[in-house]
Amino acid sequence: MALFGRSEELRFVAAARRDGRRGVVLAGEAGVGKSRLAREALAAAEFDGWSCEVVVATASSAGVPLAPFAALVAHRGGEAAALDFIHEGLSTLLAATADRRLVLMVDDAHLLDEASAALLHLIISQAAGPFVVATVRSDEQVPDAVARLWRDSIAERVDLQPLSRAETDALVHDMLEGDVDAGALRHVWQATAGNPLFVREYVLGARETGTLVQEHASWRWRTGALAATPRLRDLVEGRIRALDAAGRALLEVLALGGGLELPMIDRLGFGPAAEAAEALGLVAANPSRRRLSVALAHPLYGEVLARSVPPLRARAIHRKLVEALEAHGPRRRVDLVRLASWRLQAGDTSDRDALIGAARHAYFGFFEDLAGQLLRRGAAPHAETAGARPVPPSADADTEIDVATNLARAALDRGADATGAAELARALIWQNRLDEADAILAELERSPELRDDAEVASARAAYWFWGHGDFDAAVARLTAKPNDALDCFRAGLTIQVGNPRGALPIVLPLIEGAVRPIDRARAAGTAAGAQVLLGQCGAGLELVDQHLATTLTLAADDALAVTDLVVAQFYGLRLTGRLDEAAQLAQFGHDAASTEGSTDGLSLFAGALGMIALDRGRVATAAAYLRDMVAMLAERDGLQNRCWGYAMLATAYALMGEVDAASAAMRHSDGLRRGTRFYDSDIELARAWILAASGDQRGAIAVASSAAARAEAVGMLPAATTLLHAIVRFGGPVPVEHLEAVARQIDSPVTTTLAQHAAAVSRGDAGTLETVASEFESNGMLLLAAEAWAAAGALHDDAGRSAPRIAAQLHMHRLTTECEGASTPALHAAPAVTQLTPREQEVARLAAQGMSNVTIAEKLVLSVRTVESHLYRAFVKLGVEHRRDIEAALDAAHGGRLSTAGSQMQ
Amino acid sequence: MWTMSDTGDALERLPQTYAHALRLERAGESSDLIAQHLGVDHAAVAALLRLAHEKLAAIEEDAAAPPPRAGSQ
Repeated sequence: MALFGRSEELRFVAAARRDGRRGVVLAGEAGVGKSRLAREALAAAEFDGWSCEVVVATASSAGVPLAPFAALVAHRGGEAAALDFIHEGLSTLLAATADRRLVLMVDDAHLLDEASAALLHLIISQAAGPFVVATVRSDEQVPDAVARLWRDSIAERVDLQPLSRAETDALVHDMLEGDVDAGALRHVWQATAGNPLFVREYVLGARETGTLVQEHASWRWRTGALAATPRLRDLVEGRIRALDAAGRALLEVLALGGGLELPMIDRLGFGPAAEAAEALGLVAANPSRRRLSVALAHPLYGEVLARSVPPLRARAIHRKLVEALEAHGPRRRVDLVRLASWRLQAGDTSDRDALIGAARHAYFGFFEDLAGQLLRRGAAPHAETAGARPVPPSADADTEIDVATNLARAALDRGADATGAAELARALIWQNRLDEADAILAELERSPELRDDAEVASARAAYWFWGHGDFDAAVARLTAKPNDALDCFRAGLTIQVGNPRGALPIVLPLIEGAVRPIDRARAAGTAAGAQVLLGQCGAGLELVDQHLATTLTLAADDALAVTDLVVAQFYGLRLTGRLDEAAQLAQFGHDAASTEGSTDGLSLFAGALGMIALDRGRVATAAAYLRDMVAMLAERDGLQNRCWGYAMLATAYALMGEVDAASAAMRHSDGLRRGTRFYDSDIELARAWILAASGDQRGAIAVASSAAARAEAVGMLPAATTLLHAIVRFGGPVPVEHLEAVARQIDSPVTTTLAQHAAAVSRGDAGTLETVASEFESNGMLLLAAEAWAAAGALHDDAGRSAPRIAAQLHMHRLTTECEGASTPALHAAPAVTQLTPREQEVARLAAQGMSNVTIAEKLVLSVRTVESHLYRAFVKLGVEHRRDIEAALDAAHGGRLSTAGSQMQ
Repeated sequence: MWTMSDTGDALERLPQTYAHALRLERAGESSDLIAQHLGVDHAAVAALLRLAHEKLAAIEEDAAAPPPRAGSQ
């Protein structure tokens, strides 16, 4: 298997050897790859004609003086007689190294006995000694003679670091020899933190236990199963061996209880143990929500340790955790979930209401917390984010819904009422465990008084719609005995089936007329969403402004009301070109979800950030967010957002010109069930972009046209505008009047600009295109701006206007470099780059010779700014991005000779 | 220089310790303080910084190359 992420280290060791240094000590934690690197360094030396010897120190040899070297002496044919050992060992080695071309590897030098360490020091200190490559564990005591190697500058010490995320991903790909789902990569990274041995063992374990499975030629991570191999367990055990009983107990508590705030640690009596464990690098203290919390230093320790605690001790530990948190006093709502979960693990399930409350919180907790944070910021998501450092969910963390399901089932087992049962049914529907949900609901519906219970009706409607995509059956259940809450739910489902116009009459009267404040809030959120989708953006945003503050205070009753308003606000801001504000809102939600470790929140806001990145034209960023989103939804996709995520990902790839990747993402999207039709426009737009990227302009236009007609028919005018405008971007005949007519019905300046863009392309009006491009750019829509400049440049080119053509090209190039590899038909339509002016050639030639801008400026007696300007134009015209590429580009462009063109740019 | 190459982004792609070391170095911190911050031996700082610079250069080099084909889907 290839060595990952160690090229620089390998070069470092080779350079030290060739430069006549005496040795290198590779230090690092267990599993970081010290021995592997040392052996690779030996192989490189052997390749260079050096001879190599290996000495391995082991724990068992530590008690026998000079034992590690005995094998070497015996190997060389010498006598391992004790009395002459040092002398013989030394002379044998030195005889072999008369020409100083021996490399001696000493593996695990921290385990050398004192005599061997002294011998090593002696050998390496000799003028004609070998080049030594030693490895030591950074967390172990090292014999003084070995430590002096680096302290006395005899050898270089290199501390090996864990791999980066990209290197870890590459290692996983190499091991699995195929496509790996982004979710699996994320999982491995979170669990292993880039330790190569952990990565290998974790991936092997996951394969063996079926946690990693190959589906549709792609490896995917399934939750639930244990992925720790015996070797991994030994590794962790070996790591914590140095701890005393209190330290080990602390680690078990952290493994079962997760990160704990410092007062909890003190209350449990682990203060001194935590300090000792921190000194050994086994736990780490992190500031979280302005408080210090203590967690295991490596995520895998928790996974391995939690499974090694016997059941009765685990119960006792959970009981202690409950007592400590009760005594400390639950401070946050998430504490209630912890408390209920720990009680359950401790075998105490007496408080049914607490379990139901915790289940609800586990279900909606993130959105409640988001509401709280928005409220503290006066409902305006400014750039300031939570003070806490975002922490990803731990590798083996149960998702919110898993926790909710466990808690609700426990409550039901203890005789909880219809509310608890309905709660459980919803959690099961969310996980696509439809038969179990059906059984619970059927049981409830057998009782005449419970059959008409609103919670039961709502859960049954969710079952029909989200479980089976059956809107009519859901509506029938919601209208059997309607109330305000059920009406709001019905309106929400009406939007989901792509009929926002039909939703408005249901909810508009309830904004004022509903009895309960929470139903008025739900009605406002649903109405705002519908209005924005219909293009009544101002009205929708106004509704959000009127109701958000009040709704935030009601979040404990129904966090989804907040979500509806926040989502409506996000769409409204986007559609009216307020991308920065929309991005702030999405980023705020993403940070909050990250801090809370909420997968639901992370996937929702990753999708929102992906959408904003697409609006801006930052296609690679968009693809990264959307990959994250679809990966997080792999296990549970209750709201059927994953098909949308894949379609948006396909759009991002298509905008990069990556047709294969886009088509693959689209196949994923098409393969996912869809009860909701709300996303149809985005999905069809993705399909059209793929056709456009593959050169099928007619097909792209046909798909976009018919999708636009459907969107217009249901009143989703902003979506229709985007689809009609896409036809311009595909280079097709522009339905200008139609587009203008639709855009006029939308109160958004952005749709007006889209219509102007289409009209200017149609008329061949370069001046308006330039104005439109500036408008797009000021709104942050960089790819659209670049495309408008490209069209303007082409028109100038056709008319033979070279100065404005080059200006347009420069604008286009400047913007395209910010679009992260975007490659669209409209960009391709830009005119080809022309010859360099004499001055540009001169500057480019000097830059290619390696001169700095300052030197060139001095040489040519120009200002540095002028040099930069010439160079920039030369880069653009040559289509290169780096100085090192100039020479080849000049050769290619001018056949090795510099031609002279006009100097219209001087 | 006009290039959009952004060392900040490249730093984010380095293993954390290297990124931290480079930030401290740029802030003009002494190698003693860098060793203290990173929890490494004082004698290891020079090699660590050298490797950090080389790894950063490699990442920037990669970033300058044409974007890889997006492949994980």
